[in-house]
Amino acid sequence: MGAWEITKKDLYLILRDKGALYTLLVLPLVFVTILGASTGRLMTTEDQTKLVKLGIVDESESELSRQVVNELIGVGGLKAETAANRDEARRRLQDGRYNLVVTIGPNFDEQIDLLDLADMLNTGKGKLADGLKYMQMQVECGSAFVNVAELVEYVVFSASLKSILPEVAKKNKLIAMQIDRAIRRHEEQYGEDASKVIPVQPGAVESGPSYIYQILVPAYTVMFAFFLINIMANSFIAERNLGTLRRLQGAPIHPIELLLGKTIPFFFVSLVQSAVLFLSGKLLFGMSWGVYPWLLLPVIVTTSISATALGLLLATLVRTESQVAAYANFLVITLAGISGCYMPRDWLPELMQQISLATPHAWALVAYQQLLTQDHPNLYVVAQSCGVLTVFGMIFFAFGWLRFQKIG
Amino acid sequence: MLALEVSHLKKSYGNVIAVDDLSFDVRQGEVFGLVGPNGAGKTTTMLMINGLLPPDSGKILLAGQPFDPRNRQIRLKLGLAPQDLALYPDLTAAQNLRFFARLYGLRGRHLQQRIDDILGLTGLQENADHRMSSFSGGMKRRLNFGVALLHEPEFVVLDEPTVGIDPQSRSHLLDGVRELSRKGVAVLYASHYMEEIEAVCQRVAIVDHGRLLQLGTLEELLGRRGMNVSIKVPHVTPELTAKLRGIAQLRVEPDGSLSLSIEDGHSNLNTTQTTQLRQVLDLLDDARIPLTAIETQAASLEKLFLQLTGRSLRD
Repeated sequence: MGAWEITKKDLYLILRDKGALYTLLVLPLVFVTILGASTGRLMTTEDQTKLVKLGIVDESESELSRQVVNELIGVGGLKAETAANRDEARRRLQDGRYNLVVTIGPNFDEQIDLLDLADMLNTGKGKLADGLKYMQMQVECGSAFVNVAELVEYVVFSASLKSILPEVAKKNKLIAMQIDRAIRRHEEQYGEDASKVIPVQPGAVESGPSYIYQILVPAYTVMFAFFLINIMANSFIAERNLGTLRRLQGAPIHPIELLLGKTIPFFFVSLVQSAVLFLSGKLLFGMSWGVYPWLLLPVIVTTSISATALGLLLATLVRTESQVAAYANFLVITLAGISGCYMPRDWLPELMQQISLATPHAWALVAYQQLLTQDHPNLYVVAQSCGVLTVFGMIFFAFGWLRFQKIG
Repeated sequence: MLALEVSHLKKSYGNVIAVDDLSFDVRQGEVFGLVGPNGAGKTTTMLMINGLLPPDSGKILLAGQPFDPRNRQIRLKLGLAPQDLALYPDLTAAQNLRFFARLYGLRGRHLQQRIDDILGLTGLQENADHRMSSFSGGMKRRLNFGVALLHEPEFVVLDEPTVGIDPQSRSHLLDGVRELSRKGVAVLYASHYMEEIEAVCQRVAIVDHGRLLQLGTLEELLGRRGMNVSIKVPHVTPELTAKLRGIAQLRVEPDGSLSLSIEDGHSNLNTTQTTQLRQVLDLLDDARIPLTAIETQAASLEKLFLQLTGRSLRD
């Protein structure tokens, strides 16, 4: 009963503390929004920033060269666009807006006219043995893309061949007739759209602009759940400084009631904080709650248990507000960093991933990763994570209790 | 009947002995003063009596029962007004009272009645819904005192209850303590203000370095001390100072004047003091130094306290 009275009192005081509410509810949302809109986008698999940005300068401006340009624009994995001229393209290459530039020279059509079917069928020999150079085409790349320049040259060469092959083949009237007949038959069978270029889409399941929030929202939910330890420890210090802790200890309540009373309000706050973040993630950022949304609840609850129990332990270890500031912030930042709150856990080296399992954060993230990014979440992993988080909570609370008895 | 019995209480922090074989008792309806300089062991003693600190050895009996901090019924008999203002600044006076009252198991109409009673006793009815942080020092002290009385304890511990408050609040608080005594509540009253101790306490224990120096009623303690005679003079000569050694003490008063003090007498000027006074007057006459004034001072608890504990500064 005493625990509930202390809980009510602390909840009332927390609700009056605008600074604490801002830190616990608004700050994580601000973080998610800022990182989602900026660096967070690096974490997606399909993202414009991950495509190779290709500038195309068409100095030939013929029908055939335009076909080549369209073909390149349709290549998946490239973000291709035309540039007005070479100077403009080079400027963009230098300032990073393009990673590579392909130039189709003014005599492109004339060079293509000189090709015959044999050149097309055996590109290793004959006029096309020089590759793009023969077609008066050139690939220039930025310093960071030297490694992929050869690959892009190959892609450009292949795309060009696809466009010019029918033109070269049509020089032979018999083949030209056969090609026309084949195209008509193809269009009858599949419709006129069959001949249009359809850009290739990456096949990853986790694609889409809201995917970043599948990572960011749980990461910052976990990080800020543990941020509570700061406010919790300060609440304890305040009781001590005010002298009310002694008065509470002198009241006819069991010490365990006192500890629970100082812990439960922050557990409730943590639940509300997580709920607000997940709700905001869905409403504001379009994140998905995964295949089993209701399974997020046990993860939220067990994460809150371990976070508040760690807060209790810290509260019994520190004596001053400056100690709280130093130790709590160190714990929050370090544990979040080790566990992978700042970046997808997959990016951590294998050894670091193993080490991070010594933190409750990591187990919470593992569970969220299963539920939010997998089409078929491994429920055993989720249950195991919840179990480990509960054990973390029990251990922290037990040490907090022992420490409280010692200093009490 | 004894409300509290403390016998052979000991407590050490490492090598520092905070309380050393301390024994005293407080009777039902008695206001018992506990005085001592800083570091004398008063607060440690009070913490042990309230079950907030375990003694190394010794016994504490509350209403004849051994004190067990885990015993809820025993705790309900105790009320504590700590030296710190143990209240929540962001709660109103009524909210503070309600919170602590509920911790002590008060509910419903009785709870509201007690809150109203305490607000009346502490003179805070008009400010019941004001946040404690907006209160003056005196109002905070009164509320701190009131919280200790919410559950109608049989024994109340007041640790420096009047620190830093105005005379009106002090007077109000002291009236409250006397009222408790009239109702049969035993009070352990610790203070540095000797006039307060003299005003409300029936018996007093003077402690220092954790040990009991003297214990008794005010009459008993002050009856052992007599009058002091103080002779004010405009100046003294070195020869006179040498001759006065062993007879009277030369003092420079706060206003800069000089006085010759003949101390440690009994309730009336005794033979020794009379002889000393005659000797001093003869020496002054021989040195042709006029008298400015002659004063007699009755013994006080403060003088006794300083004599017992010395004048050296304490941290």
